Amino acid sequence: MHVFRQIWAVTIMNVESLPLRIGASLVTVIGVACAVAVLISLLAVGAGIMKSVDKNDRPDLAIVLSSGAAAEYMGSFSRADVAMIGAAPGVKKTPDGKLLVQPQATVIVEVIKKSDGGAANVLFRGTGLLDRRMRPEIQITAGRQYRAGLHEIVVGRAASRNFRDLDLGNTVLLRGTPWKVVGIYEDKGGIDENAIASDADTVLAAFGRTGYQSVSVQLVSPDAFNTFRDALKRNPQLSVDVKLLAQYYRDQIKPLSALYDFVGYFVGTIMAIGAVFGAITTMYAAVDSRARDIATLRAIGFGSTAVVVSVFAEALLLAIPGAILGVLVAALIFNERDVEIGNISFQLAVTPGLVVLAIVWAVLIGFLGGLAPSIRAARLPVATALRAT
Amino acid sequence: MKFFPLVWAGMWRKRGRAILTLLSIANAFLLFGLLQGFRAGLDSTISETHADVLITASRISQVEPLPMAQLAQIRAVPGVRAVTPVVLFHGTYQTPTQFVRSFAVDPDALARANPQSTIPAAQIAALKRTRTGALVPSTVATQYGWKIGDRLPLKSLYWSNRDGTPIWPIDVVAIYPTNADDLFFGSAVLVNFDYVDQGRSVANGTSSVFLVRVNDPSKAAKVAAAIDKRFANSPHETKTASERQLALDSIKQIGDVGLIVSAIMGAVFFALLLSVGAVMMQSFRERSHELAILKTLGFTDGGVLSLLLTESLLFSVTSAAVGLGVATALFPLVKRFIGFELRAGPVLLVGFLFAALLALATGIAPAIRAQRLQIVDALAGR
Amino acid sequence: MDALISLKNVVKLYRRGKQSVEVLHNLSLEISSGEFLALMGPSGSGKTTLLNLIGGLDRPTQGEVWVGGVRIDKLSGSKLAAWRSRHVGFVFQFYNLMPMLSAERNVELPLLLTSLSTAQRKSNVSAALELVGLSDRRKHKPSELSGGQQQRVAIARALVADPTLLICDEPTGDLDRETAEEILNLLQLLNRGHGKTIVMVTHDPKAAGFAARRADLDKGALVTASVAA
Repeated sequence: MHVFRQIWAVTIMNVESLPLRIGASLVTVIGVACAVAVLISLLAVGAGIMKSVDKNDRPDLAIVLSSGAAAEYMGSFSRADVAMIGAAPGVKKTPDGKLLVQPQATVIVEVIKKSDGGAANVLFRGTGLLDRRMRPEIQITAGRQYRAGLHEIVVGRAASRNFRDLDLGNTVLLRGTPWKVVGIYEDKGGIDENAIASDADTVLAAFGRTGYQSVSVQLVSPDAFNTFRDALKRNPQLSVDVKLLAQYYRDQIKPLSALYDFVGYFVGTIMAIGAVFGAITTMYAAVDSRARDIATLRAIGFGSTAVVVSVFAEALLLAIPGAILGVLVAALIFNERDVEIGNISFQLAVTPGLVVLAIVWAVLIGFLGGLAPSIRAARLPVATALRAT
Repeated sequence: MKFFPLVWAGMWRKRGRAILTLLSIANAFLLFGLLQGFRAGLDSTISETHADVLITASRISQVEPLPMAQLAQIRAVPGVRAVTPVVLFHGTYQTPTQFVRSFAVDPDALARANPQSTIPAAQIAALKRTRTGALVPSTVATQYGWKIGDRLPLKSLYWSNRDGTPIWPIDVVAIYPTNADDLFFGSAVLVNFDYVDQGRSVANGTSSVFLVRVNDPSKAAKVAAAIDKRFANSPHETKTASERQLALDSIKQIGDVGLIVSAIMGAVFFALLLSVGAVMMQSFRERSHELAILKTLGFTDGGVLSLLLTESLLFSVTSAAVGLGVATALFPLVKRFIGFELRAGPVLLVGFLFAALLALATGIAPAIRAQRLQIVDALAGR
Repeated sequence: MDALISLKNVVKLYRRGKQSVEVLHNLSLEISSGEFLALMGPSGSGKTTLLNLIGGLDRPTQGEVWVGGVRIDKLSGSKLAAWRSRHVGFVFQFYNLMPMLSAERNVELPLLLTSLSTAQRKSNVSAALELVGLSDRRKHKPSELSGGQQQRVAIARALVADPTLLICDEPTGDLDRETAEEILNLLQLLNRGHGKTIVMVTHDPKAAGFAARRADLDKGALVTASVAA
């Protein structure tokens, strides 16, 4: 008989006898499900963070930072610097001829969390009209835009939700000065919703800064980035780092997502090993309980290949549903759940990529779990197994 | 225990399966040991931070320095016992990967401001005497092979000398025993504030932070608020928080560690309970005949129950011990990555408790079935 | 009066679903101390049930079971177990040794329930193994012993606590002719040479011939109680 037909026949036989071993089989399925659920849940943190950054990936937006500045709120740009940046090649202009170059005055301010009353750091970005033109996807969904020169702020949706005194109409004390919340903005769930914004020069004056902290630029096209960056780097009067905005955000949150990814894989691997042990135990029991049937097949003339493959097939038949169950549980509990880590609020994401990973994990577990038992099944001494009572 | 051979033989009745089950349990407890060790280590590190020590830093950003003029003002705040300036002086030695933690402090104020300090007065005096002097913790001295009298070129990550290079020569004047209880200064190289402040090309007359010790820990929050109020609306606003608060905040940055650990361990134990429980029931079914024989020999129902529970307990504890043993053996390695100490003691205690609970949970059903086993039925195969 | 074992009007009923099956009908039997009794009868006649009652493994539905002056059908669970460990030794058709224990550990099992010291247990075990002629195989596991050898270990185990009586349920049922004879000779020796009271169930008349008395059971009642030659 053709090998594949043999495999099919043996596998069907094994599967039909599964109900006899339903207890042990279910235990294996649940073991795999738990391992996968933990893995996917932890990786969903990193995936969710990255998703909130990538949500509004605008490949034509760049940010200019002072050289060596770790973040956008550390830096110093004079108006002359800003002009030089605007003069670089590749900068887009508005229809009425204005350069889309927005200097920003950014400080960190302290607010109180609604959840536990603890202090939290929030980005207070002094920006302007040009930035609004560069990023039309940021919409005011309640109230209105701030007016330059007044102590008015607009608050990101996530920030308004998570921190005290940032509701529409509130006046909040930031660094000792009162600011009135005149509007709430949304950015499709992106990372900027965790910040507050006002007019750049107003912020500069209010916090006694002499220079802007960063400069936001829109390029004529994504391809213009390299030329733009090189021009600024070569300028001896400027000491800057130039990044695509999306890349900057990714770099900022990389440490956090990398941490969760590490923990996820580390814990996930150990749990997978446990699942493998469980699978081996179940499969050995399965082979032993069917020793007679397997020996009979071999006596009839079925090759050992069919027997071996059928053991793997049964192992995978337990592992893959286990993984799917695990992913479902993780998704049900965690997908699109709002979390707040490190003062940023985002949604966990059980992405299609993670689902694929879960299946791969299951295949590995099933394969490793079935390996030794399959060898045992192949090596069963036919005569003694047939005699077994 | 005269019943030990019987119990031991029962545990290993089916060698292969017993080994696999042992490995499963050990694997779960390895994970438990590492996670619990991390969580307990975190908790104990935080609880060891002293509530009577505050750190005053710039409110504007973590890298903005504070003017030295603030020192006197802070000292004048009621409830303050001592203040020392602290300048970050971390650097590398010889190669870029050999990192050295270092702070520039005022030796006079250090001992008064830092209650955890166990550095002998004589050593502090030595630091004061030598401008370029450095107090080196014993672990670092061993790590790099430094001795008293060595002149070391430390390459600072932050400050350039007036001569334009970031290399600062320091002289080892004393080696003090590394103090694991002192979060900030127990394992750092300490140099003179004057040496760094006067020698650097920028930020002269400033300090990275101020270390403030209060008289009464229960008033720490009030004193902190008072300090910050003094500098509110000034160009150098401060943010003063206790060491403990800072530690807690930085941990919160990565998430709710306790919850995550508990959730993971919940999943692990749930799966373990099911798989070990299944094996135990299977084992009982295979042995019911033998258990009936024991009863014919005169073992009581209660005796057989105890036998199975003892087996379950011994097996569980032995397997857990393997996993916990490997976990605690890895603690020193883990410490190098995360920087704080993991203590084996509490982890082992809680671990064995869980092992006992596992034994009970998985062993009780088969044990009760064994107790209720009717000799005649079991022997007849019913 | 001389009777070591005395069953008086014993009835045993088994419940199968809604039906009751009467396995022993109003059975009375006396066995003297030092006797070697063979119980015979077709399958289903109740021989094993009778054996179970004498050995304290089961209770009669009606009637009295006396052994050594003690009314064992009235003993409670743990007291019955204790009585059994001291007074009865069992030998089964399929040996029923613990597969994961060595011969000597198997023999030692009944002694674990006593308060003897380790040294005492060891010497009793050695004596028992020597009696059955298996001292040189003491460390072997059952899987490493032949059928006859395993049965000898079982007999040693049955003897080690010096019980009042030995109960054997088809002790030679799984052995070949030659080995069966060896075992039966051993039982005879224990009875004649050491005065052990033995009650043996067998379907083999030749095996019954080794006993001093024979009782036949049919459908739960004694048919004959004859003295063998």
